[in-house]
Amino acid sequence: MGEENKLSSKQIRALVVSTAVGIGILTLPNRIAIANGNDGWITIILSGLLVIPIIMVMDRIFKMYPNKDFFTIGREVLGKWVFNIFLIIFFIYFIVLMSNIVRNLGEFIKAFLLETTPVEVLIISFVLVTSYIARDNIQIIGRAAYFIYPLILSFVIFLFLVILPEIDFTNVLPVFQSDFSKIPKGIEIAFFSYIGYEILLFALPYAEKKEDNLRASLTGLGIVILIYTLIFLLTLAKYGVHSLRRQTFPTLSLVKEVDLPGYFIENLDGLVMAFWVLIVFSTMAAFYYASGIVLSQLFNTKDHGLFILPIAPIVYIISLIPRNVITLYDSLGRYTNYLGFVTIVVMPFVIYFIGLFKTRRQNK
Amino acid sequence: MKRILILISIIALIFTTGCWDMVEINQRLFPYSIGIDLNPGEGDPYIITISYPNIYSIGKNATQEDRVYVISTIATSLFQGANQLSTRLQYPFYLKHLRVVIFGEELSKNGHMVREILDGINRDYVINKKVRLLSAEGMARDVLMGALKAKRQQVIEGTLFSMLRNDKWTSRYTAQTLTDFIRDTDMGGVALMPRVAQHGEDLKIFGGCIFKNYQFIGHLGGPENRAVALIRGEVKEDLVDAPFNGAALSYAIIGAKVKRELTNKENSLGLKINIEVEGTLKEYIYEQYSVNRDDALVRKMEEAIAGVIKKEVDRTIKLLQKEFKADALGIGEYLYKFHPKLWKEVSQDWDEVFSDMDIEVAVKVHIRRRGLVE
Repeated sequence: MGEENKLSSKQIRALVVSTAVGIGILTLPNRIAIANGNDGWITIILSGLLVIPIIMVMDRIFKMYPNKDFFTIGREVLGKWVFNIFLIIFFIYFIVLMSNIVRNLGEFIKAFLLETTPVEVLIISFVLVTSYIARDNIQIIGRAAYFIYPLILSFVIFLFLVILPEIDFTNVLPVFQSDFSKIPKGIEIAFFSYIGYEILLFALPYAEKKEDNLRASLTGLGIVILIYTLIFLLTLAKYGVHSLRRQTFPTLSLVKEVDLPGYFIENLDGLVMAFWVLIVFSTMAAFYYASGIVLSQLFNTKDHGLFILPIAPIVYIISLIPRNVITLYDSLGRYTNYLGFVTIVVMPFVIYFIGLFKTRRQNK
Repeated sequence: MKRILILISIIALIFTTGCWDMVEINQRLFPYSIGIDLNPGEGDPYIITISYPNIYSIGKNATQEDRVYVISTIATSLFQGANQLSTRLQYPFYLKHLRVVIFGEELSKNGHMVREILDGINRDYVINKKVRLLSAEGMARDVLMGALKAKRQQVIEGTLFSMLRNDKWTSRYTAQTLTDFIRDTDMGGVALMPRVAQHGEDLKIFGGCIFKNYQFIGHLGGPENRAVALIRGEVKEDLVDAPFNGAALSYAIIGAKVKRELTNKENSLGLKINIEVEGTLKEYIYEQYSVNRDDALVRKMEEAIAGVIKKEVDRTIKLLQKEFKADALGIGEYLYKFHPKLWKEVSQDWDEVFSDMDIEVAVKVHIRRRGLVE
């Protein structure tokens, strides 16, 4: 592994941001508003904070077994068979997640940009494009993420600036009036909008400076929390809580509200969709790469590039199963959450605690 | 061999790229305003009237003279109407640049139908949600037809839209976008929509129509709309006249601040509204000697203007409270935001509570500038 093939801490930060910010950002404000009303920003921040211990545990695992990658550690700690079962769940999770992403993307593009293009064509072309980058190493994915990361930031800042004349921040009031017993429900929704940080499991071993890993990942997470909270507050300030509950894609609808004088800037939805496809591309690329590498570990091959193209038809077929947009959320969305809970919450903790137990016993 | 392959793929790229959804811009019609009326006769419920600019009349080598075309049909919904009309026209309609939707008077009175139409516009992917809403006096179709005849007002981007864009120069009407209209209704159950009517040769936008739960219940005149804007703190530039020392004092409002304060008395809700108006002196009688150097005189003038504004505001509040029982003043919204606990108690029968509410208005006027002569 040459020096130039390492991930810098900036790239790790970018990787967290660009993988976490994806399809969720378009629908999150609406679903949080339904669950928690005006106090949704509390849930968004809280569930972001919940991710911190998971990231810390991931970092700890790699500190406990330095210079080993995730798969070697997993096999060593859990044993080959148990770990393989986890890997299979991991693989299914990535497949369902990717199908969810491409189907959502297809539906959005069809609705807002290309009305008569069949959604199948959109999905196939997107999957093929991402398969190109997914064949490369994590370093390449990290660099791509580093390119797209400023795009995400500038998208949010730009949106904030152009929408500022249109909004009324008193709509955020009243605070702390919603039913606090509903916060767990909201956290369930918001927590899964942060998924994507599991790419750290594959990325951290290749970091240039291992001691900066935790700080870089947590900064990335902080930026994601900030972006989500800001988007939520902007949509809430524009629509008020009642209308926000009715907007299916509040972030895109917000863009449609932009109307700077003199016809200078209006009807920005096409432009924003184009930006957004790039953002989803970086999310998809990371997951695609991860699913390939999980498969190559299951089959004990050195190169994961072999498995990338065969995954494409699986993703394509699963993504077309949901009948419409509503069942898309109910089926693929929900399975993603369940599987995600097992793989990105349970698995790191299990590996960490068993590993801790084993290393302590060895030391004695 | 490799070179040939690369060459083939480059050539293939040239011929295979393209866009599935490509439509040339001149093969689409871009309606600016749509009018919707209740169909008084037999058949489908709505009359959809669409006005669109004629792109062949623009530019130096214009081939046609009519700048705007208006066409109408009877249909079951706005989209159905647009669809039906495209069988009569050379190109299909593309609603992305739709600016103005006009509701006919009879249609406005039917809350159910207004909701149907608003849902359709709001649900559609293409239509810009900043589309301005208008309520017509009489038929919306007549208003759009009238826009054709109003030669002086004719602009290619749509007469009505240009007028609505200019609402920052007056407070006689307040342009209402679709999103804001729905948001206002969500908050207090009431929203305003500016009113449009044929006035001689021209079109005129004035006052506001009160929609309670999406149903038209009555209208406000221009001065009343200004009073509402004052109370909501949304007032823009406008002129107020006040009699003073036997002459008419003309005063230009350039902005206003509003502070609302809940004054809870026993059993009844009380609200104090403090309005502070900023502005300049526009016109007073020309005197031989410079008169308004004196601050005391300016203060008297301020009082006189404040009196006029207060009277107007009080009258409007009374009208809304007693006659319409409709909170177009945003008081429900204020309670919801700043006194949420109280709002939970009163929101159930807000209309009744609002009409019994004790609203006190205090107006303070500042004359900051007095013009070029003293």
